[in-house]
Amino acid sequence: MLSNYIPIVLMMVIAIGFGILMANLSKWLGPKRPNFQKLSTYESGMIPVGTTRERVSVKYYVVGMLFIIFDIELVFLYPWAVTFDKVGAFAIGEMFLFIVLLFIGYIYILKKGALEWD
Amino acid sequence: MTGFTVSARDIYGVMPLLILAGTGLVVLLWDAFEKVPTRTPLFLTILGAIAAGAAAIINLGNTGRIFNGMILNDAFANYYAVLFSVGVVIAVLLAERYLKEEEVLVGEFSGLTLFSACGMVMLASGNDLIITFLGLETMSIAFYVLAGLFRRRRESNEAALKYFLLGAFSTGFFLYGIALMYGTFASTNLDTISKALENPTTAHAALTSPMFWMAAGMLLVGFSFKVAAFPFHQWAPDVYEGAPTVVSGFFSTAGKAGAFAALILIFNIALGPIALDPGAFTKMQTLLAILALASMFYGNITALSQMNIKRMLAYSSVAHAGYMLLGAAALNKEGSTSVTIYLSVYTLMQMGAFGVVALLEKESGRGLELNDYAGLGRRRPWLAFIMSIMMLSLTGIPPFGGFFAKYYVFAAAIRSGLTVYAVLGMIATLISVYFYLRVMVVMYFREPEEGTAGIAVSGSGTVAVVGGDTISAWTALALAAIGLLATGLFPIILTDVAKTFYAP
Amino acid sequence: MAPLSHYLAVSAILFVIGTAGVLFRRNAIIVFMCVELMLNAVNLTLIAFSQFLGDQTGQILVFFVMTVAAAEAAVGLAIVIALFRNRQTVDIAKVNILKW
Repeated sequence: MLSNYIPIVLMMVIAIGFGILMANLSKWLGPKRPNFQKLSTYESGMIPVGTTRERVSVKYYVVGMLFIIFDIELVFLYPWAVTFDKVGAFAIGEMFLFIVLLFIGYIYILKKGALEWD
Repeated sequence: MTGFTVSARDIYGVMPLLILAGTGLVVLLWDAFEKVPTRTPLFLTILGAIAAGAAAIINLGNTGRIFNGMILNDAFANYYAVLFSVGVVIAVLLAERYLKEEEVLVGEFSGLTLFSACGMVMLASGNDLIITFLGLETMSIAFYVLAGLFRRRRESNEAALKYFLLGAFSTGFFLYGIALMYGTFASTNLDTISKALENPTTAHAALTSPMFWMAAGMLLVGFSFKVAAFPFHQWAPDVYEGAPTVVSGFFSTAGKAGAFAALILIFNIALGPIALDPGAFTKMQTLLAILALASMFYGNITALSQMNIKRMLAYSSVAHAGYMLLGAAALNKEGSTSVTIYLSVYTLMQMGAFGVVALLEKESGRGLELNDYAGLGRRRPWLAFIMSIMMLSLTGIPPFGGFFAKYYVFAAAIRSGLTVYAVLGMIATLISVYFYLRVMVVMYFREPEEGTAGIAVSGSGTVAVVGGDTISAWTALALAAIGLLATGLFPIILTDVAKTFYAP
Repeated sequence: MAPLSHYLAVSAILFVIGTAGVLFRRNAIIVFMCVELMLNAVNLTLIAFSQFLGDQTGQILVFFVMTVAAAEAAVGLAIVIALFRNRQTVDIAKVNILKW
């Protein structure tokens, strides 16, 4: 039974070996003449500032949260957009009501200052 | 595909829901555009709740289904809508001064209270598991935020986080229950499920499949979380203690009523035809009755050792969930009627008790220990009197509504063959006498300790009282007390509920 | 096509993984992600039933579950942020002022 799997094991060994070989081939064969410019993070770009593990402002999460809420409403808009010509006037009215409700929520967060970055 | 249309009958049928939701939106916008916060949102909320209650009373005589059988528009749904409106009115009346002192934004409180009431109305009128799910979530999400309303207070944060994590966890189970129900009956409509159970062939197929019992179990787990019944009650004491007192009162009354309404609709009405199969019927009854007994004993015994009044009320609410589950365990119309009666009375008494606690609460959540109530009978006789009514009613001592509520629940259980469970339930009630009456003993027969400055001293002006005595708070308390006295002295009001409002 | 039971088994396993995560993890955010996993496991069940029963209801319910999950995510993140501002931790084992 288990012998059936030997080709798969072989295949995996070869695949992993080939991957390692290819990744290192250029390192072994290619000439290395490093200088300051080549070793910098972005060779011809900007000079990096600070550490990468910088903390993100908590305001970002507020915007992210609001984005999740307004983004997911697309779930209802999408099936509606496909079938709105078949489901009648009621569905169109309903969808506009839905958008108006979302808009009220938007006015609320705007007025409460949730979108002001500072 | 044919176009879906909506008739005037549909719109009138959901009028209470529309009014609540509309008022909620108006309140939010009003609050957003207001430069200086005023109390107008609270006033609008009361108006909206009264209007919704009135609309529900007008609809009481309706029968039948609206929106293609998705929504129930009968006496049951509308009776519960009235109950939720009363709950909102009492909560807002109590909250007026309480929130102002704690500098909480009244607009958010009003809006969230109304939106959670929308969810409750959906729960009580959901004739389709989709509506039940949406109602449960609308209610719960508003509740999570309400629990964290005091956002600078650590206790409030903690309550919100615990409520949220456990609530979302239970939602998973509830939803899995819905999915398996859907798999069993190929429909989420409660009428279709009911019909399938009436037909012997399909009923046999469903009741012998493990999927059905898993579904029922999962739904029960979800409901147990929401009503704080025994194995899934752990969140209740922490959340009730940490959340603003008025909000805790609202959770434990209207929130519980909403979840119980849906539980009755699913287990007593939709799965009612299970009675045709005696084996499955007994199985289901035992399942519910054991949960009920466990809640009663656990809630009452743990409440004995609580010195914080809010925690004590939380454990007592676990016990009350048990009494109501016992009524629901009758699995017939009589059982559901008794639960409806119980919820009506319970909303008044628990809300009243939390109201008194809110009035006596001092800044940053102090003044909530039982010892702080010492000497209250002499310094604030009326408040102590109201608290006594609430405690006696919660115990179930005759001249108050609590007695008849318990009577109907136990009667329904006995008549459906759960005699042993009912007798054990009465023993659990006897345990509860101790901690309810202890509050009265402390209020009337114990002097405040030196130096601790019990709440009662606040009358002299040395210690600021958060709640303060306002006309609105007293209106709410009087409303609750009079309601309890009326239902206690004239229980015919309750039986009328059973016979006319909610045809058994 | 794979039989219905395979889909149900996969979603049941996902559900159990989610449940275990909720019970054993300490980080509030991860606990919440496990809850989301539970909801998505149920979504899979619903879609499988919907497909095999030839009935649309399950798929409609999935739309609502997705929306509700997003609303829950927003509220949950807000609560965690409020907690973090007061406590500088999201470890639920350290959130323990309230106990008897």
